[in-house]
Amino acid sequence: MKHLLFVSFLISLCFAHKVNLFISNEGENIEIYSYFANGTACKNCTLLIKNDEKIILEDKLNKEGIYNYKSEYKNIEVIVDASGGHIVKKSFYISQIKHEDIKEYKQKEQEDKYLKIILGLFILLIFFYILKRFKK
Amino acid sequence: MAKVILSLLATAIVLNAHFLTFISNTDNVSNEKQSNIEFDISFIHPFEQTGMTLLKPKVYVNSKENQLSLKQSIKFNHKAWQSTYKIKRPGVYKFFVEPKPYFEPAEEKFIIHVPKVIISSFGLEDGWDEPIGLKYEIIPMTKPFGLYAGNLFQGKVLHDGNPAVDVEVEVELFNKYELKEPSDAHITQVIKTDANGVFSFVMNHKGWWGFAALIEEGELKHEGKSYPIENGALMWIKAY
Repeated sequence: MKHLLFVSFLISLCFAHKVNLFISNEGENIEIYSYFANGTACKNCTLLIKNDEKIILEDKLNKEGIYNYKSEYKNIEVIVDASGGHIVKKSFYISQIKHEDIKEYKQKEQEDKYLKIILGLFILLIFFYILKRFKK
Repeated sequence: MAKVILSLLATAIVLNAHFLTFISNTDNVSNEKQSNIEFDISFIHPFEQTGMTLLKPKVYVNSKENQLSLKQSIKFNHKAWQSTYKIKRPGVYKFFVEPKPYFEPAEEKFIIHVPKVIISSFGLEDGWDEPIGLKYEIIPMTKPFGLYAGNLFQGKVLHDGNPAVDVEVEVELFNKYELKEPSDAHITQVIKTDANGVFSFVMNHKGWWGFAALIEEGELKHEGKSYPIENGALMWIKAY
């Protein structure tokens, strides 16, 4: 009997922390929003996006439980892991994909990545240069 | 003699509770397919399933700043109204109706009932216990969506934001199930608010239940004569 009560308590506890997932699509942007029933955001929860069982994105939601994403796939599966066994998943169909825009976006993202690497290397060079000057 | 009996019968029918009935196709939107909410708005006797004419009211969501459009319909052979609302984001939505005053000659009073319905969408449940800020309002103390038949429903009646003490709350089931009442007294259940303005009621059947807290205040004129106003803070709850 005690075990039964404990199990039912655990079930009710699990439900009280049920995590929800709301996905909306406006234009190219997909907003992924995850939250609990009492309105608390699923802060920094783990986000996985899959297409055909293949992981295409692994990241974290922001402090508002939101992640904005541009997809190059029409069918995606969104999984949010709030830890403690609270996982929610939803399949989503994106009707408005303009592949050229996505290409541009991905290209810009790649360019930004290279720019960041170059900037990082440049800062390192300056750092070592200053260090060398001080040693002299 | 026949005339007297007929007149008594008519009065008996009229004296059963009037309810501004505000019912939606759901109180819980779980997915996109359910997000188009449809409302039926009528002035009826919900248990007996008889109607009266309802002049065009106003329907709002969350505040008087957000008014919804209306379409005329017929309910129990009388003029009624329909409205729709598309829920786009997760949240708790509070819908309410503001009718034109209805003059009831048999009771020699005006009736102004303001019903509300609370709908949860996409799993978000926060805020169901917060008032809209109506002059007369029922604040649920039991989560109003996701109730079963047999659950106890508790509400607090507010008048100008303060607990309304010792106020009568009439309760009726929207009796689409054709239940037969054992006596006339069973049609409208009546409870009273306590010292904190709180009332409790066990909904013993599935379906939509109307709660009407009635507060007589103010006067309006009809054909040159002043009559009191029965102000109703109404709330519709669905038991599953």
